[in-house]
Formats: sequence, structure tokens, C-alpha cells
Amino acid sequence: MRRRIGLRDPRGLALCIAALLLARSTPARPWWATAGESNAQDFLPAAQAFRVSARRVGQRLTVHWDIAPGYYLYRSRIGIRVLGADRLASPWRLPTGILRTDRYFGPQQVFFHAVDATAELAGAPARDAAPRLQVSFQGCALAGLCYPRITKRLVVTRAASSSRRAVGR
Amino acid sequence: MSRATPWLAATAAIAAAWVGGRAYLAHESAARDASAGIAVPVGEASPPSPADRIPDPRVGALPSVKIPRHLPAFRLQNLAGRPVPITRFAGRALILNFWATWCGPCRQEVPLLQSIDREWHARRVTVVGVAVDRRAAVAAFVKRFRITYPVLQGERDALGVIASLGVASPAFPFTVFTDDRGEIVALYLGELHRPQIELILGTVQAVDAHRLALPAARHAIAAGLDRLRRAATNG
Repeated sequence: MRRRIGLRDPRGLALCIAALLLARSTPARPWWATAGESNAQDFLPAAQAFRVSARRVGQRLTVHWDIAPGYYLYRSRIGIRVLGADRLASPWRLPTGILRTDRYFGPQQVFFHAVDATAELAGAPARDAAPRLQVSFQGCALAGLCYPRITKRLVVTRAASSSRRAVGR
Repeated sequence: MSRATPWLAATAAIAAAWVGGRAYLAHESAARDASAGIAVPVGEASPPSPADRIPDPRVGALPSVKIPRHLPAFRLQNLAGRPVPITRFAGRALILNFWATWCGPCRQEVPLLQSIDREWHARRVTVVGVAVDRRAAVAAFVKRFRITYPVLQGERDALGVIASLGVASPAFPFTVFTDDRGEIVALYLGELHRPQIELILGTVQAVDAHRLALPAARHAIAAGLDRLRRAATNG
């Protein structure tokens, strides 16, 4: 004779919980489905493809980009401007990039994975406030998508240690 | 092990899936918010969001809000500066290619789009370029690359068109495919290649011939693109 499964039976309880959870989890686009109307899931938003942060250790300012795998930044399209009264003792320095030959733009230096731009402040920050920077940059995905130039303002706080970075605001 | 253990394990798995799905949707919403400022040429950095702490790149997909069923009515200037309504191309299936002169992949796809425009013209398919850039730069580009298909141009107004298509944070190139009634069949982000474009156009033709309904067409395109992606990865 078959035994009825009820709430007192662990199997019955499990089925009820599962049914309740499934009934609640009916969003328009669940995590296991793919988008049918575009391939937007193939690419990252620029804010995730190129994460920028800044830090100060002593007089040295460093702007750091974390570049997601499969994405790159153009060296020639990176710009950094100090806002406010702070002055630099030297211009911003960027490392040499990897040469990538673009069919139409010709050879271009690009950065993969990560890159740092560094400069020295001339004297202490004005009014002892945190220096403010405006950074602009432009990059693409190797899969064939380019993002418009992104401009962000960063407030650079003094790093307690070299591993701590200020974030954009 | 008791007989109840597998049931409890199954319940735990379903619960984990449910929690994962909720987290994905919450993250997708956060990612959309975090990237909403990209369209603005000079914007403020986004505040730290939950999206910044998620390492899996596929979780944070380029967001697009709901793509409309029909191509919105809009008008943009041609290279002579005269406004052209998109309804001028009514009755033809459209390949609306959004691009900018500073974008390498956009330049790469020009020869393909030229070929496609010629090859598919008799089948009532037209390529229309929409350049999001200054008119002088676009005119020089069109002349240099001898583009023969119609090109419309705009800056803020073109960004408005992009927003009306449901693309929250524009990146280029992207291409909208419509059937001959102006229904949007597909929106493709990134550089197009011949296998993808022919897959999509073949499906659009099936929609035009009433052999395929729009939802089925979108599904077929998504599945076909996925096959091509897997083939490219494996090959």
C-alpha cells in the first residue's frame, strides 16, 4: 500500500518548500536564461571593464586602472587633469603599452590587465585637502566593441598603506 | 544515510538556485545603475556599488533596458544637413548600424555592410548607417571609405534615438535589424561578421514571408548566434 506524503514526512516538507521557492522565483529574466533579443550579455558595462582608482603616498599620486580580461585601453586616449589649486612637480608618466596594429588607426599602444599613471605633487596638497583629479580614458573589447570616452572625477585620499586606494566619487 | 537526505539535498539545491537568481537580478539592476552615466561625455564617477564586488564578468552583462517591439519614429540629419525621417525607408527590412568615426570595429565592418547592402537590395533589405559623431568627421569618413548606403548623423539627437531603442549605455558598433513592417527582430552589439549577419537576415526574411513569428525569430537568432559563438570558441 502506498504511503501518503505529508508535511510530517521530510519528503513532503521538502516538496512544499521547493514549490514555494519556485513559485516566488519567476522573474522576467532568470539567471539561467539567455537574452533572446540582443547579445548584451556578451559585454561588460564600461564601469566594470575599466575600473579606475587613485591613491597618494607622500607626494606621489597614482591613478590605477584594472582592465577586465578581453578588454584594453588606448594609451593615447588617457588624460588626467588635476583640479583645484594643486600643482604637479612633473607631468604624468605612463608605461609603454603593447603595440596593437589597428587596420585603420595603424599601430596603437594599448594596455591590457592593468596600468598605473604616476606623478609627483609640488608641495603639500592645497589647504591640506585631498587632491581631486579628472581622468578620461577610452577602450574597447577584443570581441569588437568600443566604449565612448569616459570621464570621471576622483578624490585622492592619502593611503594608509600602499595597498589602499581612494575610489571615484 | 536516511531516506530523507536526498530530498533535503534537492530542496537545498533549489533554494540555492533561487537565492542565486535573486542575487543576479539585484546585481543586474545595480550594474545598470552604475553604468548609466556612460552616455554623458563628462560624468562623475559612479559610487561603489554591489556590482563592483562581483568578479564573474558574465554576471555583469552590458545592460539594456527593454527593447521596443517596433522601431521608434525618429528623424536625423543626412550629411547635407537635411532631416530625414526613418519612415522614408518604410516597407523595407532595415539594418540600422550605429557607429562613430573613432571606433575601430565600426571601421572594420564597413566593407561587409557595403557588400550586404548590394547583395540584399533586391530582397528589400537596406543598410542605414547612423553615425553618432560630428557631421564634418562623418562626411570625411563616408568620403574616405566610399560608403554608398544612406548615412544619417547626429550627436545628442542620435543618443536620444539610442535611448529610445532601450540601450542604456551606448557602445559601438551596434546594429538593429527590423523586418519590413518596422518590427525589431534583433539588436546585435559589437562588430558584425558575415555568418552572424546572414543568420539574422535569413531569419528576418522568414518573418517577412510570415513563415516565422517574431518571438520564434528572436529565439532562433539567439540560438544561432550561440552556435556560432561556440563554433568560434572551439574552432
